[in-house]
Amino acid sequence: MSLADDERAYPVVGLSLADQLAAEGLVAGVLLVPERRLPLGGPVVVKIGGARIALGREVAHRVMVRGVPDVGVRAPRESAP
Amino acid sequence: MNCSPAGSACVDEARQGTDAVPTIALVGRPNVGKSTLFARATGRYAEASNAPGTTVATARRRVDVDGRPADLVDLPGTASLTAPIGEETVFWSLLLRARPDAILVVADAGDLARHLPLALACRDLGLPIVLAANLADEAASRGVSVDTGRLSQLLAAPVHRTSGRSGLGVADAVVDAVRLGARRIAVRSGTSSPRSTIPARAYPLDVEAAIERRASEWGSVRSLGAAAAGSASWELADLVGVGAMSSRGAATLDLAAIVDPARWAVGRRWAGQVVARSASRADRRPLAERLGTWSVAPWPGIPLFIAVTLGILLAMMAIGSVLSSLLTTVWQATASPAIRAAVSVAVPDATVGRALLWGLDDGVLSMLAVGIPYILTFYVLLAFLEDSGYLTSVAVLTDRVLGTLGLSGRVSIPILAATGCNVPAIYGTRLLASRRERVLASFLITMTPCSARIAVVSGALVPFAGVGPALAAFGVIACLTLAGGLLANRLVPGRQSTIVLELAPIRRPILGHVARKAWWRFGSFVRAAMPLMVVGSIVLGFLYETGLIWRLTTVLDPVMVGWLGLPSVAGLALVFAFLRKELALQLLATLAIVQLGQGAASIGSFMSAGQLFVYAVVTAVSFPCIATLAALTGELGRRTAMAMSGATIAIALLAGGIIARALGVA
Ligand SMILES: Nc1nc2c(ncn2[C@@H]2O[C@H](COP(=O)(O)OP(=O)(O)OP(=O)(O)O)[C@@H](O)[C@H]2O)c(=O)[nH]1
Ligand SMILES: [Mg+2]
Repeated sequence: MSLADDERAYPVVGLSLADQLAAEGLVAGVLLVPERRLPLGGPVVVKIGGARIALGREVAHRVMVRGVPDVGVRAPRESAP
Repeated sequence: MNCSPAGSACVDEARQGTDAVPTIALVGRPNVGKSTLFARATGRYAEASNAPGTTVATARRRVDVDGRPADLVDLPGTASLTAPIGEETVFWSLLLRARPDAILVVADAGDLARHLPLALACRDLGLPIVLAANLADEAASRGVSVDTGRLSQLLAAPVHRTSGRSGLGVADAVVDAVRLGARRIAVRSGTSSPRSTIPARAYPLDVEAAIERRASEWGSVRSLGAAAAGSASWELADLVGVGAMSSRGAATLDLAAIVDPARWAVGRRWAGQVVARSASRADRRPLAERLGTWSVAPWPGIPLFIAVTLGILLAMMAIGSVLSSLLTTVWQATASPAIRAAVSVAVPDATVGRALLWGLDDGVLSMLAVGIPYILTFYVLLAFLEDSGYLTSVAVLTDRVLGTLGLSGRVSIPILAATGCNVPAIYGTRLLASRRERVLASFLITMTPCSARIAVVSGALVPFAGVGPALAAFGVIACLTLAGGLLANRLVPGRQSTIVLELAPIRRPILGHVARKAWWRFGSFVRAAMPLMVVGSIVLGFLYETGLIWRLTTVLDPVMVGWLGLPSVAGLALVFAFLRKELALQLLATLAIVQLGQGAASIGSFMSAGQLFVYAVVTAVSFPCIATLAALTGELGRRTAMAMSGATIAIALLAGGIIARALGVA
């Protein structure tokens, strides 16, 4: 059976990953502070504004940032102003 | 009433409200304090936890605002109006099915930039909004202050600083929302002249132009009826058609992909204009924040996680056993003699009298001895953990492990909740995006021992075998759950999703809240369990006193005695446990009390430590109780529920037989 033969209507409810990330505030232009990368391919924890967000590794790999040599490798240093 | 996010029950419930009563919907990001505010405004407890996804169904309550009735509706938290809520619906659909006349947007006063986009999205729907800048106490303690007057101008809507915890500003915010809601009703019914509900334009010109174009298409839908909607969502068309939403609102939902980024930009800009931070406080990094960072680091996060788990189990066993002897002593000294005297006077027939005492005295006593003490203690500890905000850290830490079971770490939140009771945890899986994840998570949840099963394991093993064997039993159960999960992951096809989760802030739990939540859950537990326990004991009493019991047990003997090496009456208690898991031990205890005299310690006299170990593991792993089965059936369908139950029985019996042989009891 080809898909087109099926006359049923399917509501589209899933969001693309980009939309899901956008809803978490991960949009172009925001500043992101990497906090931690869990070992063995675990999630990456980043800070955006006041929020801390855990991102699965596949997701994190698709977030592109500028100026950070290796996102999430180092925990951020709290430097005195 | 519980209504599923996707179910039509919500629509019916919503439409029941007379049109004259304004409906105010609470909308906000997960974990921002909606349910706490809802409870405060309605004066009645609503479940709240420091973790996202606590509320999974719509709750509607009538309140009285200055002598005028209004309905408040609490909703699940959401990151955006177009975010999926479960596998079948999106948030806006759930929201609009509640037929709100105004929206009370609950935002975090300490992080407005993150919360304003949702407020803008609500405003774009064309409904009046009121903004509650919530968690104001926390924001203040971090040195963050919000210029509510300025924000109110920007948003063209009332803004209040609120704290659901202390009640600050809650009444004012609700009054404003009800006022706006009532005005909208008046305008729609023609008793008042309309005021512009079109919000001020806040987005870049190209975005506004695109919205305008799409809105005019929706405008024609409105005049021509839903048929003109073409390929667009029928539900949306319907809502626009009946005027539940403006055509601009429908347009912004359609165009979420381009409007959302604009909203985030506006949110950042406005937050920059209205938020002030006191420099001295902002520099300090509070302990809670450091704890949050540590809790997700492998070191000390993983040892901490193990310590917390063990600590909770040990604390529950220690406090539970003390409570147990206290409660039994009190019962035996006070209620028991009175009940026995009353029954002997009121019931002349000796057999009937003895059977009644099984329920009214021995049944209650066994509940006080082996059920209540552990369950109550565990509820307190779990509520403490939930309010600390630690659950989301666990989700991050366990993401990798749960990944091997085909699940994302997010699932650990309902699984941890399942240690209290499986039923709400199964409902909690509604927020997972795919059916596969729901099935796998629900299976793990059914295998996760709930407080009743934890009480059976502790109550059976701690007094008669010791803490070590009890911990070993929990270890065995954890391994079996893991094995079951691995198997299920193999059997259910599909791809796993990845975690995208905002971490809850670590907070010091407030003892009053913890006690209230534990007590509330305990109350519903006792109301559901006590009657079943008493009736179950009386039935068992009749079977026992009339000798019928021995005929029934012969049916189960091949499995119970032959395979598991248990005394035959234990099999009967195990079957009764289908009604409620704690019956497994309580009926056994009742039996022991009847056979060997009062004092729960007597269980140990007809079952060896090894037998109790087998019995505890089999009870904990096998077959969900009837309430869990009903929840599974309702959420996932009968076939899936049956398959899961069958699988747990198979795993339990297989493991039980092997353990029985290893321990030399069979
Ligand atoms: N400090 C402080 N904490 C609050 C306040 N309101 C709520 N909380 C805490 O915030 C956490 C989340 O509260 P909930 O009411 O469950 O939040 P919710 O928005 O209903 O969450 P979901 O239903 O999961 O979307 C709980 O631990 C509350 O005790 C407040 O005004 N001040
Ligand atoms: Mg809630």
